[in-house]
Amino acid sequence: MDTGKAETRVIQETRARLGSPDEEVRRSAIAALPPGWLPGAVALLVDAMGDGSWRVRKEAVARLAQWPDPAGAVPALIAALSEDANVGLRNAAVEALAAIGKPAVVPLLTALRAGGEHRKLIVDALGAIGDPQAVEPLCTAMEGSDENLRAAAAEALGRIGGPRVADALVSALHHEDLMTRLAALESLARIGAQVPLERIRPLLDVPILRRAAVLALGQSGSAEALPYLLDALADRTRGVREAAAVALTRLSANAPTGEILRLDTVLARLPADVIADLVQLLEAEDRAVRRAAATLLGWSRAPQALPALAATLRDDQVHHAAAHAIASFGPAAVAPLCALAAEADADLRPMLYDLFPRLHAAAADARVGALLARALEQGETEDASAAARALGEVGGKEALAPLFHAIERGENELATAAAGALGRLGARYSDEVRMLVAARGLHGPTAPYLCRVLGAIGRPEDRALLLGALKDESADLRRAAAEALPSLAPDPDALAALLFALADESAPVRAAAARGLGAIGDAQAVDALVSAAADPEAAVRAAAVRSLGQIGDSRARGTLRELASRDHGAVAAHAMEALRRLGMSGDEQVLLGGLSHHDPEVVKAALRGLFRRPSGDAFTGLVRALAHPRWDVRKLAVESLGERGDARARGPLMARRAVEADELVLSAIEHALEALPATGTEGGASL
Amino acid sequence: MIQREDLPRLDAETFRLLRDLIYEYCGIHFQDDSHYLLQRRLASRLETCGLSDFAEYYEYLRYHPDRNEELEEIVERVTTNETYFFRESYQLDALRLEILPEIHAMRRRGRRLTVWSAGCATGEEAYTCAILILESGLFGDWDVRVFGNDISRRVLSVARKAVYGHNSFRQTDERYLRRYFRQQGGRHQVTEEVKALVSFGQLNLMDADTLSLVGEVDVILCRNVLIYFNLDSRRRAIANFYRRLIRGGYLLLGHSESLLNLSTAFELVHLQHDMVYRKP
Repeated sequence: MDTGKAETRVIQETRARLGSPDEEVRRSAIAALPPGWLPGAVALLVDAMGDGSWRVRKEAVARLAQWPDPAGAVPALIAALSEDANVGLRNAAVEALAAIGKPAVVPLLTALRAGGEHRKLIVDALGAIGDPQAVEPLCTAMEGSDENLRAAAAEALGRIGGPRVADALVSALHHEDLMTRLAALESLARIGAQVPLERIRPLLDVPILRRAAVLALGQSGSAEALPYLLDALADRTRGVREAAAVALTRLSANAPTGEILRLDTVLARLPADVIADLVQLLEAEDRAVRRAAATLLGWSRAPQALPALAATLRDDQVHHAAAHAIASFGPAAVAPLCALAAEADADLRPMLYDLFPRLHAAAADARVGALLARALEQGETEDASAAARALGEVGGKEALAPLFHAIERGENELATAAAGALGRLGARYSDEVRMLVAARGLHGPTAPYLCRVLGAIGRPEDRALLLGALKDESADLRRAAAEALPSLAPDPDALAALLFALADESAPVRAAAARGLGAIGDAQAVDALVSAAADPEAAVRAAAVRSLGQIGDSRARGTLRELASRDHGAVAAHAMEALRRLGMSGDEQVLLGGLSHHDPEVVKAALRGLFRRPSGDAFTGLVRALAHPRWDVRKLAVESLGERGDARARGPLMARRAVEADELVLSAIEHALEALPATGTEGGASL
Repeated sequence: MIQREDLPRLDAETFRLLRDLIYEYCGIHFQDDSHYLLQRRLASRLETCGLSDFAEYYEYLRYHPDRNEELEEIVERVTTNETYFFRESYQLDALRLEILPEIHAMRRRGRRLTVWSAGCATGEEAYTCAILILESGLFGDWDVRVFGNDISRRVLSVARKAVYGHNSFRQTDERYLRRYFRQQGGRHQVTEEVKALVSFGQLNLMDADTLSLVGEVDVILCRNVLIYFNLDSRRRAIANFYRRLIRGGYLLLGHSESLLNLSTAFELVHLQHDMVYRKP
């Protein structure tokens, strides 16, 4: 332990500088302390945490948070919690203890049991650390006689969570002390625990608890909470209305389907003043409230809410809820949206256009078509592109000519959107679209986009046009033709043309041809693709290797093994993937070698190749990958072990669960453990 | 009719992969609930790049020869470059009336003034600084440099053109408009006198090595930029600012931003017109 008795010269000099009247001198003195353990430094840093300047205090906290012997620093910090005369020191000590984390838990619990005036700060520190070891002592503190301590304990428990915490907090709702009940309610909301309706009902009429109690109704899981929530939605206090809005959406999310329908019907009958209040909540500070208000307004289908919901599309955090709400109006939204789009500014207009396809058949309306066609012709790029995308979904024949004109404007984003739209409309009006393409011919700057259109329609009659384009002097057009050809029915001429295009002087054309040959999947392309796998351009090699994997012919095996071992990035990853598809036992060593590749995508490809292989080496490789620094690699290793169904994986998975911090990986571990058969001994193997 | 329920779907895992990639590139951090934001802002890029889903988009961003251009495009789409001349005027009053005179006194021997508009977007802030320096009348025979940086080439090209529409002038005094701008077909062009003081460059605030090109700086304005970063990126950016500032140099952040829990290296100075940070 650092006692502070054997101070070195460094510490003495630092202490002298801490006596300076200049805060920068004092802060720099702490910042300049050499890294690592120093005798006497803890006492000095605790003294510095009581400095009058926040900069000096924060610097000392930061230094203590990284102290190499955290357990040695904890006693001095706990002692500092009882320094009544210096609030800054006490708060800094709580902050430092929280930063130290787990090593501080047992000493803090010992200090809590010992009693004293500073127990509230100990409880605060335990809450900030969030270690489950503190749950029982905090539950005991919540039942004690000190009202400040009870409330602090309830609050700290809300930072830890878990079933035991939820039970204790629900029990605390009976407490006679208001502050304890309030803290318990707020903590229950924080951890999202279910709270029985009968426990909440008595609290709804206590003014100081009403807001928190209304919020808890959303976690009751009971349709009987609905009348209370509708009542709260019309409350005089805005905070209560906000809580009711959030609680209603939570109640709906946790209710059976039948209950959702009922909620929908009930909200459709909301009076106008409640709708007006909900519209106001679209501007609440809390985004959860804004989202809830948008959702409820969508369910209400109150037409007066549409302009406000449309304006809310600008709110990035609520956009999705607002768009969903507007879409739920169905045909009733068409006329108001057209009117709003006509008045909207350049930021909002594209967002409104994006909504029309979500109205489905109702958007096949002449007013919508006219509005979008005008935007396509007169709008700025973003505006016109959004209109093109919408027309691709809801437009009719009359949209075809404006979409062709849009391609001719020469703006890449707009031309791409218009070509995509024509491709989609081509499914319904193929003759009209093909006639318009033929009238223009595949020449000039619009031709690559027209190739996309022909590819999307996919009619064999257009093959000749595309084969011609593949010989054009423009590399962009040759590339577009190579990309479009595979979408037409298989044909020897197309195959031959794409094989020849592997020798094109332009790398993007060669890559497109290689991709196209993979999409066609004809084994005649294997030899040519093996040659393309030695292309000087990595993008071409990657495309060729990927296509070899799609074709799945063993003649490519030698090349794939070579590239999987020696190439890098996408080429190696696709080669691993291709070897997986071939599924030959002799390739296991190559796949195992991929596990130590520096590129995580290659490691993932190797894992996908190994997960169905029964060998012990494959199993060991998957287990080793559980400790990979990248979360996505660990997640795939977990999923692979789960899918193999080998009960031996349970131990390593449980061991990983104990140290894993990533939520997605943890969730995958839980799924895998559920899927795996149990073993007699469930001890966690070491990683 | 073909019915499309929604945009191309971005699943939780691909969202995380894209988020990590963007963070690695420029320090911009998306919280878990930004899933739909990213999906909506990037959905049209799939079509433009000729890709069918977000997993392919991730691969494109990892390996395609044009990956850097596409990452720049992403930054464009996920940040708000909207800014205007003379934004947050009381902070600019502090710059003009208190900070510039102090620096004038402090640096009179070297007669050199450098102001850095960090994350300058379309350049309005950098030109505003140049106008305020001219207006102060203190630096007539000094070597004055106002430098603006951004990660996006597109906004820098707008900044270099120095021609702005009405939206950029919502807080501009008519006097400044007449004195430092020329009318150009309903828009306003910054005069050569102002442009001569300002230069722009494509620099990443996370990249300490290339930021050394900025040299020693007297004042840094970095307003409404840190909001896109997480704690770690903010700390890195602030550490880079600290390295570039001279002792006694000032750091001006947006009014919703502070150094609390970010850095103790700067002192908070209560000027008459605003509170700002200074390198001690």
